[in-house]
Amino acid sequence: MRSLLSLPDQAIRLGPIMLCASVLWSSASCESMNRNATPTSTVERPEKSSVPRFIPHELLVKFKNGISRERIEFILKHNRIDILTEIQSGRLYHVRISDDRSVESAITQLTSYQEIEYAEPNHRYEIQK
Amino acid sequence: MQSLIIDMRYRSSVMRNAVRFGRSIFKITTVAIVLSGLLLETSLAHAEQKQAHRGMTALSQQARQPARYVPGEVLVKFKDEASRSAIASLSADVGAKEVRAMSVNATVIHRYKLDGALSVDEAVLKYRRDPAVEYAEPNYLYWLQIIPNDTQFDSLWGLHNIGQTVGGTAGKTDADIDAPEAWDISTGSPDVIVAVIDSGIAYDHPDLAPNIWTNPGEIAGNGIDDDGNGFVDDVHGWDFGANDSDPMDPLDLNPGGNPGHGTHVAGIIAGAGNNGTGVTGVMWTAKLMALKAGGVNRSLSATAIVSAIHYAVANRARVINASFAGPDCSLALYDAVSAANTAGVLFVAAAGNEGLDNDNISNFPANFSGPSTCDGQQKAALGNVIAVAATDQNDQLATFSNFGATTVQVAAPGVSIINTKPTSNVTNVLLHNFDSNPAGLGYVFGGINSTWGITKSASSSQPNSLTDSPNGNYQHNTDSFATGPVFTTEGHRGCRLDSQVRLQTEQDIDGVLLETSRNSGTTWEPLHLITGDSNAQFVSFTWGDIADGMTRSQFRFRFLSDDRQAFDGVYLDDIRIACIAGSPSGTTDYQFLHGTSMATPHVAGLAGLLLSVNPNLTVSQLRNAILSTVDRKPSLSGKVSARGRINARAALASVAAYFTVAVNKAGPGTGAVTSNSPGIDCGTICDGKFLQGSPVNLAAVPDPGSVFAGWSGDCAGTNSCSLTQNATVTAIFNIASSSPAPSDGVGGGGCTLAPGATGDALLPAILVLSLAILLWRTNRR
Repeated sequence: MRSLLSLPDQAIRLGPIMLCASVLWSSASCESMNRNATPTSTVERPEKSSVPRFIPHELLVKFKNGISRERIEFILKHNRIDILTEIQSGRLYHVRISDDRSVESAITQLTSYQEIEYAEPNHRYEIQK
Repeated sequence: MQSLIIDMRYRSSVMRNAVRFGRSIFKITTVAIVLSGLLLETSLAHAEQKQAHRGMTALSQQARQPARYVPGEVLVKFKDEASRSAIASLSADVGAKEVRAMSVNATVIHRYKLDGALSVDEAVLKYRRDPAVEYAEPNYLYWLQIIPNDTQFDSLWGLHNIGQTVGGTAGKTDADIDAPEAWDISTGSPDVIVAVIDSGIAYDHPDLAPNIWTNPGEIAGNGIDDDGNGFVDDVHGWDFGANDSDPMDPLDLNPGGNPGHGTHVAGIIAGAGNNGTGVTGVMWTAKLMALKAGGVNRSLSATAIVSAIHYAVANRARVINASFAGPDCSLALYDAVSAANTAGVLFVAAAGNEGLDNDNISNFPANFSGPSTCDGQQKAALGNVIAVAATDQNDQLATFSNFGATTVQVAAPGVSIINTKPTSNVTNVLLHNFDSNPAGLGYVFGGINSTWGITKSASSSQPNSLTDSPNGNYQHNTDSFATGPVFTTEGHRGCRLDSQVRLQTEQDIDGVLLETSRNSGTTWEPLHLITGDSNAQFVSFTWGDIADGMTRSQFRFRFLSDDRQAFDGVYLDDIRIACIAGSPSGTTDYQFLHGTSMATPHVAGLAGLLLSVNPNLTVSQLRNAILSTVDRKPSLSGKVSARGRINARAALASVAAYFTVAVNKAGPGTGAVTSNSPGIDCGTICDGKFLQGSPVNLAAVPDPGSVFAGWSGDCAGTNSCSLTQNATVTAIFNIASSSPAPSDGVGGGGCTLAPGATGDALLPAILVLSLAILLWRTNRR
């Protein structure tokens, strides 16, 4: 995968998925890219739309029960991840990767912590009209 | 119960015939009578039972209209051999004047108006005693309650299909969910909260407003989290996509825009019923919780959905409607739906619109109804999930509908569904066409290798547009900004940013990112990125939702390129922040949509009706009531596990429980006993059948010269007698002079039914009922 130029630290780097965001102009390529970028999805399925299947640079991170707030903040900060929303107090966090790492590599890093139950992309679901 | 169900099925065909004949009350009633006359054995008993439970459910919203039949009218069918003179003399005897005779299917029914000498009950009994009479009944107001007066009801084939043509396709009679028949048991309840996780709800639509949930603990617009639930001013719900307090559903007319999806879904669940306007939902009455989770580009994020589920559970929603789907299994979504399951919240999910088999290709959250593999983990089936496929007007699986013999449970109408639509009226908070005094608009250009400027070389509205590169192709290694002025969305709702866009960039590598700020540019959030080629055309494009009610909003277009190819770049024109203006205009704001998105809310609405009948139903009871009462269809066999399409009437009948109350009178005095819910007027009707779950209060009113001395049996004291289960009570009336009132009504002691009284009361109640039926039969012969 080709990469974009380096961006300033605080900037959002455009991952390949994000570049599929246009419904108007990039439908074909998005399907293949999404498949590549989503290791859990192994089955081919027709896509009606090219809306990206997860939101770039964002994750859902769930900590195991009983992890202290300090430890949670340390782990996230240490991995250069910003909390956007605390969905479930002390457990579930909507976070953003604060540098140009891919969603996949951030997930790999986070899930190496035994305090973390899971980390996953912020998947998208489509209205079924 | 069994005979009741048979009778109801019966009635549904009656309904259709009746409606085909026309909407006249008289015709409908008459047809009903003709057909019920075929059920000679128990027609009146049924009629009265139906009356009784209707009194407590469908009529509960109309408690001030207790009349169960047209006052002073009776309907009589005479035996074929009855002579004209016998009919005339009997009528004179009763004091009845013929209003008209009506012939239906070669059967003549006579409609009489009484002169007042006899009550309707007495006249009916008198007619029945005559050997020339086949049957006689009050002119029940039975059907009046069922077909609501909503002007577009005829188009709601999913609720009531009489073969009418909708959307150019003729339907099939009874390929519907039997909603009118279900409404005989319940039309909903303002106590049942159904959460709609979707693109928002146009909560001010006249056909939705009466049924929108209002957070009882929150004061609107005071900027304070009054109820301490973590959300400020969450009056009708929350926007979990833009994270603001306004869950308005913005209609977006641009290509690929939100069609007003959540508003349509909400109307299917609980468009205000029988309000003389537009449509009705499966529930006439409910509380719809508006949980917006995105939708401007037709997609919802897992984080927004998960947050919305937690909100719904915390704020006592009983049913969640999830008309969205995607192939990825989110553990957080699974956990949230599982938490809803633990909390007793039903989760109804769309099977999906790809025409695929969900047994083979998973679709979430629908597939949580069965065991699923989520990020390599095995996850158990969640008992609160119902996955819903879509049927058409002929009870066929819709061509687009996903299915799954094990992973999709049931089907519901989802083709050519008309329902509520948000207004298309907008007001422009900001509109930049760059034509007159573009420098005065306040744009600031900057960043790395910025060449942003205003150009005349290409524009949508002449002469100017905003572009990253006015002089040919864009630069390599660009990260440049065009930052617009600060604006406010205070006092506005349903705001989004759209523009005309002409684009040519290296596909998937270079592009334009829109970022927004709600703090005058201190921090920026990415909203949407586009890349590729628009074929030298300007196109209308909605970039995304803009947070409502923010005073320091800002946006910037950020052009990004690498060091490889360079193209013409981007031209932006007519940049606009559009917010919803005014209220929907009413009758015109409806639209047809198709999808499993539309099938799902039919099931969610049915769940709400079930909870209206019995709020104590568990999710497994709810699920079972919906899935075990379907109309089985060959077309759905092997497609959904229940092998059929939902039937609201049958589902409600399966959970509607009744208790019986028998009233005796004793003592030397006289008086009447009446019930607050219609049923007992003793007087003449001393037995009643009432829907479980709502207490029935009996009141004893002594005649002049008598006093009420108190209750015995399952009630005691002299206050009103409140009953919630099978009971037999005796009202004792004494003669006033010899037996003064025991007290002046203060502190007389309420009547409560002692625990364990059911068994004691059951036998006498059954005996009394049996006796009553026996008497009726005897009278008739």
